[in-house]
Amino acid sequence: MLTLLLCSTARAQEPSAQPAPAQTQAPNGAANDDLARTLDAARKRSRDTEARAVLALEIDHAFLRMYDMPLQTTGARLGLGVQNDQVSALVIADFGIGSLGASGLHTSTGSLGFEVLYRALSFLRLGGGARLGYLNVSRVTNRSPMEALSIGGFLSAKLDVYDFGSRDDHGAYLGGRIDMDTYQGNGQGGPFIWGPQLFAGFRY
Amino acid sequence: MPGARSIGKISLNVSRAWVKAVAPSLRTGPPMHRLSSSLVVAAVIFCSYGASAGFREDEIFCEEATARLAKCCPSFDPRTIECSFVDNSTECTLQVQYPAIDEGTSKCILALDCGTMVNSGVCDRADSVLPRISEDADGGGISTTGGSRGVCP
Repeated sequence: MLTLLLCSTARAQEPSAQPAPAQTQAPNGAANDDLARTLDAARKRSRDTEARAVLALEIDHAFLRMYDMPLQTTGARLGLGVQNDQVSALVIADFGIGSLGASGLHTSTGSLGFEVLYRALSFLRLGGGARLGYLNVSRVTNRSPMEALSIGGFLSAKLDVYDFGSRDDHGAYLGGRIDMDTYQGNGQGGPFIWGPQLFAGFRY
Repeated sequence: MPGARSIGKISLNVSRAWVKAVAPSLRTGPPMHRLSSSLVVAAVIFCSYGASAGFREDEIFCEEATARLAKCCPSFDPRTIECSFVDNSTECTLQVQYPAIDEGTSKCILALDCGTMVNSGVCDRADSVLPRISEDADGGGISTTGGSRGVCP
């Protein structure tokens, strides 16, 4: 609406609409320049805050600790949400498989949550999120499940390595994340699983 | 784990009932209403499912130690070990089954390499001392006997 108002104002003050005497052309030209700049700024602000859909896909590898044992997982992460030129907010689904401890017990993980990112620099996005998760550890003794649900969060940093699109908001990126999740216990307190995660992603 | 299984079944039935009740609002109504209904369903499933799950440190270490024994000791069969924690206690009775290899023994086993385990007799003692799963006399379930103390030097 602001843009429309400014446009109509600008049109009303176009030199061709109201021919001015030669001696006043210089001041009118300056006024038009000011108006053009104001219009550009208004258009830019409008574009900056305009929300549009964003889809993100990441491949990740995590180096976690569970009961002081290494837990490594490799997985994929899918995000769907909205973004403008400064902020993005996504619903995140994450799946992974991995191994626990020196004996390599097989694990599978999944989580559902959200992530909010702030574009701190043109190539750097910082943020974090929260999630509900699931972890299954396969037994070697029998097939009964050893599994638990979790609640947790993460802090992430994403570094754009290639941008494209009219607003440079599509692209490929690399990043790191710190995961922190607390799991249910069975007759005693559950484990706190945490650690760094590296990933490569694509955002459209 | 019969107790945990029955709790799990009840949880599943409760979850299904909730999904059935909320499902109509997931198909109709404004997007925000559908989203909030979906979140409610997810939260109910999450909470009810949680009643039948959870990790224990001694269970995890028992499975790890059993995997190490299976890798290093040729005659060791991991399927004869019960690492589950099962609490079937009632108000009047105490009936708890702990993992067959306790946490201290598990950590000791995990600290040894395969050569040391064979040479120091850990594999032999694991075969002879560790409690094994056996059928109950009436065939109605499993029971374990013995303890894991003395397996590790």
